[in-house]
Amino acid sequence: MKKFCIRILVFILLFALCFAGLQGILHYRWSGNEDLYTRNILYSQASPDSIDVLCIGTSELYAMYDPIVTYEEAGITGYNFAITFRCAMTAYYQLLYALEYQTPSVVICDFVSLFDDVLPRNQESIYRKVVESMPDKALKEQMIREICAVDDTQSYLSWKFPMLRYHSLWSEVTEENFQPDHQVNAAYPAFKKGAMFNNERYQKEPLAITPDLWDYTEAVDTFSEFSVGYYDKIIELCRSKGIEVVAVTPPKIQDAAVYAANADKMHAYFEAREVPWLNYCTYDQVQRLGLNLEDYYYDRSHLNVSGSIVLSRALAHDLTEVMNLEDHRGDPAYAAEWEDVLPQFHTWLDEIGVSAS
Amino acid sequence: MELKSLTYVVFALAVAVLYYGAGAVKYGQRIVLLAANLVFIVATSGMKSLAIITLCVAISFFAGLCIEKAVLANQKSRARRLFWLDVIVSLAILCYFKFFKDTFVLLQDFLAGRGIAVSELVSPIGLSYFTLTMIAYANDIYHKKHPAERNFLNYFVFITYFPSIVQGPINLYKKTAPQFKLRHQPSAEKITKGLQRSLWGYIKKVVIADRIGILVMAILKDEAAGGFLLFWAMVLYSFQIYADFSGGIDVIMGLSEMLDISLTENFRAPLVSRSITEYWQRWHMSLGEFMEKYLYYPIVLNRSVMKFSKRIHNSYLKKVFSATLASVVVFVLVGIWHGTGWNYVVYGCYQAFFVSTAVLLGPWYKKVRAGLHINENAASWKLFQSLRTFLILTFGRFFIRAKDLPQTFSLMRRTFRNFSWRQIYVLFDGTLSNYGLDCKNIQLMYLGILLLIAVDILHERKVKLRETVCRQDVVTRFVIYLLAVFAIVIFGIYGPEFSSSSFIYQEF
Repeated sequence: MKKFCIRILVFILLFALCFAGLQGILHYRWSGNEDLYTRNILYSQASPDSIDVLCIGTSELYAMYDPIVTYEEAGITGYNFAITFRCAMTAYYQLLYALEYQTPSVVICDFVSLFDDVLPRNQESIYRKVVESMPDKALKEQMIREICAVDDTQSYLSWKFPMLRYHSLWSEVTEENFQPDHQVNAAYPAFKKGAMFNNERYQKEPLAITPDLWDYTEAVDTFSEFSVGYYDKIIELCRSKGIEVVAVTPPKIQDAAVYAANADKMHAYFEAREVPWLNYCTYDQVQRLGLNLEDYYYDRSHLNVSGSIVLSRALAHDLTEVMNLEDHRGDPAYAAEWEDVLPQFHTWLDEIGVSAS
Repeated sequence: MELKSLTYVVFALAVAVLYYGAGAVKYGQRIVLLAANLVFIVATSGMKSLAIITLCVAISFFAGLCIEKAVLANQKSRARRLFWLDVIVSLAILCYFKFFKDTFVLLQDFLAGRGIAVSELVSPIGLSYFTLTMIAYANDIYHKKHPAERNFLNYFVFITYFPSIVQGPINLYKKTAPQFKLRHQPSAEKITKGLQRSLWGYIKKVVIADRIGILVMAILKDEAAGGFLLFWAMVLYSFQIYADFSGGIDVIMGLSEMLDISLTENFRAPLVSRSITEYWQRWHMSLGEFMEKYLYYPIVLNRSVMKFSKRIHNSYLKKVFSATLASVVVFVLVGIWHGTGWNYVVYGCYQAFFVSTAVLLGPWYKKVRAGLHINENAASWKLFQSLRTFLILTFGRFFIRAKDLPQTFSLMRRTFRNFSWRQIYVLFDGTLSNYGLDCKNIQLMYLGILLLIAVDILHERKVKLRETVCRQDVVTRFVIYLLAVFAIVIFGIYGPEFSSSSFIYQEF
C-alpha cells in the first residue's frame, strides 16, 4: 500500500506538471492583440517623470491620441494606455500601474463606461487582457481578487485555471498558442508611445456627416454604479497625487446620437467633480476639425492615422488652454526619447503614404 | 453537488480517504458513509429533501420490522396487509412527487394569488430509485428471503448510499447491505480499477454524451431542419443517452469499487443487442432485475392469470399468454417509471409491443428465417439484427426525447414528412457545423461514438480492458491515465463555457 501511495503522489505531481504546461498553451487568449504587455514594459522603462499626459480609456481614445504628435505640436509628452474595450475597473488598475512609474501633469480619460457596467462576468476577455498584461504581480493579484469579488461566477481558482472553464480552446490552437504571452515586441516602434496608428481607411458605404446624425429621441441612459465608482476612484487617486483629470470624448460618428443624448448627464457628472471636458463628439467640432469618414476614420467610431494626427494636434492646443503644460521641445532631457524618434515617425508616415501636414 | 462537478470529484476522493482512514475504528467506515450521505443529500437538494428521505427510510424500516414480526408469528394475512400497505405508501410518495408536482405548482400559484404563501415542493433526490429498493426490501422480508434490518442507521446508510442514490443502480438489500457492515481494507488493485472505471465514466459523460447533446438539442430546436437531419439527431440521441447513463453508472460503480462496495451491474454492452428483449437484458439491468423478480414472475405465476391462460384454446398462445401479459405490464410500468407524461406510457407500450410480438410471433419468424435460408450465425445477419434493434430503439426514443405526446408526434411529423435518404449529404457538407459544434468537435464526437461501440464490442468478446491496462508497466499506465484525465479536462463539456447539463437519468 505504501508503494501505491507513493505512485499516487508521483501521478499527482506529473498531472500538475502536465496541467501547468498545457495551460500555458491552452489558456484563454484575449481578443485584439494590441501589444499591451509591450506598452506596459516600455512605459516603465521611460525616464522617470517624463510624461505630461497619460491617456486611459477605450478604443476610440486609443485610436485618437498620438503622444508623438502632441510633442511635435506643443512639446507635450504623453503615453497612451487606452485599450480596445470600455471598462472602468481596468482603466483604474492601469492607472495604478502607470502611477507607479510616472506622475503626469494630466490624465485624460473618455469616461466611456459611465452608462455601462461592463462587469467581469460578461466581459471576461477585457479583464483578462489587462490582468495578463500587468507586469506588477502584486497589482495583478489585487485585480484578480477584486474581479472575483464582483463576479459571483468566478473564484480565484477558476480565474487561475481557465482551462477548467473553457474547453473549445483545443480546436482553435494556432502557432501563437505556443509562444509565451509576456514577450516584449522587439519591433514595437519607439515613436508609438502606446498609440494605435491604424493605417486603414474607411471601407464601408459612404456616409455624409450631417447634423442629423446627432439627433436623438430616446431617453438618456442611467449611470452605472459600478463604473461611476471606479471613475470616481480614478479622479480621487489623481487628485491625491496632484494630477489634473481631463475628460475627452473622441469624435465618434457611430452612435453619435447616443452621445448627444447623454451629453447633458455627462456634463453634469464632470461639473460636479470639477473635471474639464473636451467633447469632440459634436457636429460643430467635427466641422471645425474638418473630419470626414473617408479620409480620417477606419470605421465609424475610430480614427485612422490621419484622423489621430488631426485630433492629437487639436488636443495639444486644447490642453494647453485648459492647463499650463510645459513645452519640452529643445530640452536635452527629452531628446533621446522624443526629439530623436520624431524622424522615425515621419519616415514611417512617408512609408505608409500619410501626409503629416 | 452534481456528479460531474469538480466539487463531487473532490468530495468523493475525500470520502474515500476518510473511509479507509476510519477503518481502524469500529463502525468508523459506516459513520464516514453516513456523514457522506447526509452531506451529499443536503448539498444536492437541501434539508427538506433529507427530511423527506429520512421519513421514507423510517417508514420502510419500521414496515420491514412489522412484516417480519407478522411473518415469524405466522400471521400471513397481517403480513400481507402490512406488506401491501408499505408498498402503497412507498408508491404513493413516489407518485405524489412524480405525478402531482405540476398540480402542486398550480395549487401554489392559486394560493399565492390569494396571499397564502406555500413553500416550494422539494422533490427528494433519487426517489424513483430508492423507492424500488425499499419495495424489494419489504417483498424479500415478506417472502423470508432475508431478515429485516434491526439497526436504523445501517438501513439508512444502505438506502441513502451517496454514489448510487441519484441514478442507481437499484440495489437489493440482500446483495448490497451486508457489505456496509464489513470492515474494508484498502486495496491498490480495487482503488486503481475503481479510478479507471470512474475516469471512463467521466469520458463517456462529459466528452461524448454532452458533446452529442449540444448537436442534438440544436438540430431538434431548428424548425427548418430536414427529415434526415432530425432522424440523424435521434440516432445521435441514442448514443447520447447511452453514454450519459452508462457514464454516470461507471462513475458510481468506480467510486463504489474504490470503497470496496460491489453494486449490481447496470449495463452489458447494450449496443450489440440483437433484439429488444435482449436489449432490456443488457440495458438498465438493475431495473430489469427488479421488474423481473418483483413484477414479471409474480404476474406469470399469479393463480388468476394461470387459470385464465388455461382457458385459451390455442396451445401456443396458452403457453405464452402469461409471459406476454407480464411483459406488457412490466414495460408499461417501465415507461411510467421514466416519466409522468403520456409519451412515457406510449414509450412503455412501444417496448412492450416488440417484446410481446417477439414471443407471440416467434415460431412464425423462425419459419420465415428458415424459408429465406438465413444463416443465423453469420456476422452479417448479427450486424443486421443489431442495426435493426438500434433503429427500433431510436424510433422509440422520440417518445422520451420530447416533452409530451403532442411534441413527440410533432417531432415525428417533422422527421418523416420530408425524410429522404438523399439528404444524407448533410452529414458531409458542413451543415452539422451550424448546430453548435465546429468541424473538429464533430469529428471528436464521432470518434467518441466509435470508441463507445468498440468498447462494447470488446466487452462482448470478454476482453477485460481494465485488467489489460493494469498489466502494463507503470510508465505506460501513467501515460494512459494522464491521457484519460486530460481528455476529460481538455475535451470535456463542462463549466461556464457550456450550459451545465445534468445526467439524463437523474431526471427519471
